[in-house]
Amino acid sequence: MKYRIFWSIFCVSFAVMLLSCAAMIYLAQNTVKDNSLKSLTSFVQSLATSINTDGIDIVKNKIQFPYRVTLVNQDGSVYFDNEADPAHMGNHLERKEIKEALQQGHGSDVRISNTLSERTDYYALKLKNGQILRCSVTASTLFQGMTTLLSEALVILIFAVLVSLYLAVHLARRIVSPLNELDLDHPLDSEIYDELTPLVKRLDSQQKHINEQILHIKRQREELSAVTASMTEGLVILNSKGEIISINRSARKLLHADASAVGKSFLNLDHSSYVLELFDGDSHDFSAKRTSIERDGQIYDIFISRVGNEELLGYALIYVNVTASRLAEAQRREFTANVSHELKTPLQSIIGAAELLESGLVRQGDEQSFYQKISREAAALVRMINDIILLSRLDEGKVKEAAEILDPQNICAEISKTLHDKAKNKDISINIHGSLEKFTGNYRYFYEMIFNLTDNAIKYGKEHGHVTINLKEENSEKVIMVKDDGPGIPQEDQQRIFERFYRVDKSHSRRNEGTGLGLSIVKRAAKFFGGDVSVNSQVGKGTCFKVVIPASKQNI
Amino acid sequence: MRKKLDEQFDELNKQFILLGSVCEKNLGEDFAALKARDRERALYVFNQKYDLANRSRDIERLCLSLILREQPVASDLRLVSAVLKMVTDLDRIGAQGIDIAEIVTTYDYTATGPSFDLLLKMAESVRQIMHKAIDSFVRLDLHVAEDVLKSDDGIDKYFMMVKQSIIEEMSHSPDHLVSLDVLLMAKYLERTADHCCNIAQWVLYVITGKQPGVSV
Repeated sequence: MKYRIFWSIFCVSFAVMLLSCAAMIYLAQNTVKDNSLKSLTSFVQSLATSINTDGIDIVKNKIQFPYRVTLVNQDGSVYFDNEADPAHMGNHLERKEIKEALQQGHGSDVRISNTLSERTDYYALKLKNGQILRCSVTASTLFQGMTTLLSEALVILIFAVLVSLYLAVHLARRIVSPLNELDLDHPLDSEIYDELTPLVKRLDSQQKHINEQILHIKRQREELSAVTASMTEGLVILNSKGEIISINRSARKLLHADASAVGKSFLNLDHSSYVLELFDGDSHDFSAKRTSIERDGQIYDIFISRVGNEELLGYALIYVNVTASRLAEAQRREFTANVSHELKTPLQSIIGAAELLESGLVRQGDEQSFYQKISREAAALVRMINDIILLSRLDEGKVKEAAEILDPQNICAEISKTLHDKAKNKDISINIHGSLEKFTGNYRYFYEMIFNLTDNAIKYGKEHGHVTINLKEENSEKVIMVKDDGPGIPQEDQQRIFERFYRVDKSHSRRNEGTGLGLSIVKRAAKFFGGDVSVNSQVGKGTCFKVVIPASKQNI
Repeated sequence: MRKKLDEQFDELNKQFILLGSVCEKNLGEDFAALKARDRERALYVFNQKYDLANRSRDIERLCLSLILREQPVASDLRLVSAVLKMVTDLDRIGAQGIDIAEIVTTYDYTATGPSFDLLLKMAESVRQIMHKAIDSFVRLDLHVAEDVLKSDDGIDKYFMMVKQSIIEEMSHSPDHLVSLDVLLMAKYLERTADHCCNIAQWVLYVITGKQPGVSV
């Protein structure tokens, strides 16, 4: 625009200047011509007057004339000329100005020499003696005048061009500058040509509209990212080309990406095989897919949805950390398998014995031992079921704390009495040392806890050994230690002995009866009291279980 | 102009990563099939022979049209020319994956000595190197690329170990069945690792501008 304005101004001013120049020159030339003609006429007349009065000699003596002076006789021959030799000049009778002078007393003519581009004005006057006085003046023509003026004219022209150039640039700049300086963010604030006001108003309204839209979108995006940011699941949204539109914090952490990942291809973050399927799969299959991956030791389920109606619009990927539930599932499966196995073992024995009795294959007098076996196994079964029920209750944590008053010494003494026969069989002595103050709590769980520990100590202790129950207060915590001098537990098993059905002795021969649930119950019960249980054992030197219960339970 | 160029670069990038990932996946599948004695699985990999070749050609075509139409300069040109070189390596890796799959489809499982276990271990570490090589391209990461170059010696050592183990098996128990296929697969793996190193070198070229094998 600036360019066009510049050129228009420049061309117009240049044209005007050129035209006015030409007109001026033409007018000036005409005036000059008229003036010279007039002065020529008056010169001739005055010269004729002086010749008429003073005779022809004036002319002959006065050689210095501003004009060419010629005297022509009546027959046309040249009598005198101040610039040329009359002898060499031809007859002038046929010349127009001479002819006119002979007839009318005066005559004039203009002759233009094309070759020299000169114009000669002639004026002739008839003298009294019949001779004709002719004067002529040669002037350069218009074009000649121009050529002589050319150098000056050129300088003037160049100067004029420069001035008009400068003016054109300046003006163009001035005209355009309001447009350039227009503040597009606040178009109404700037001063602008009236003609542009509708445009500016429109611009302003559109600007407002766009700003509103941007704000709206921004807010929406912020809402979305605020919602997704707090999600523990990873969420990635891709467009149809597989470029990331949105990726939340969890997904970023999982895929080791930063905020700059948005807008780039998802392949840059992950090029595992499940992503390949995403990019290579049938693009008209919009069904959701589910796969699992392992990252940094965690297991993730990935739900991949292809979004779109007819055409694929994008993808949504959700990463769910399922490590804990997978682990729990595995544990549950193991537990179920163990439970069914453990429950089946005594049942098989019962069924076997019962069948033998039923078919009458048992010798008379031997029935007693079969009955004993059945009742023993049935008792084991009940014990195990009781244990499982107890455990699952502890698991659920639904048991209300019965506010019973617990006297640890009494309970230990009771347990020692209960297990007295069992201990006597292996010649194991049970000793109780120390004391603990009474406190409130669930009697059954506390009893089961100590009972299981003591029972285990007798079961796995060596014959003629000692089992010691130590009760003491340590840093305002209640500490119960059950120690035996049995074979001990190997280091690698110590981590797992609190798992359900875990047994150090893997053989199913089971010299020692037991459900494999005892220590789990101890652990659970200790947790129930807000404490924990730990084991300290060396192979061949015995084992010590230590239950620590914090003093939050009010002493009585 | 620049937008179109960027789009084409993104496409090139995507195609290259896809090809690399397919090759990596095939390699994993080969040995998973070998371990699981699943010939069908190996056959599935083998059937991708022409698909892989087509992918390589596509990438080459993309590179050439990029050079001709967009006339990239400076780092863009470096990237395109490096991809053009790397795609040859990927092509070879893919072909070796197919070759291994072919062997797996006819593998005789009566011979499973220590060399076989060694081969499986070797395959896993080659797969990891392959993953790293592609990763180094994706992230244009100098350290990952250098890591790949360093781990090549380990693979060469693995190959020697497999070879040694086969020789030992043959000399100690003449009756013991020895499969030369194990040696063959080990060699393929070793070549694959070499190609991964080439890729890593070209990635270094893209990052630093120093041409592989030329000491400045």
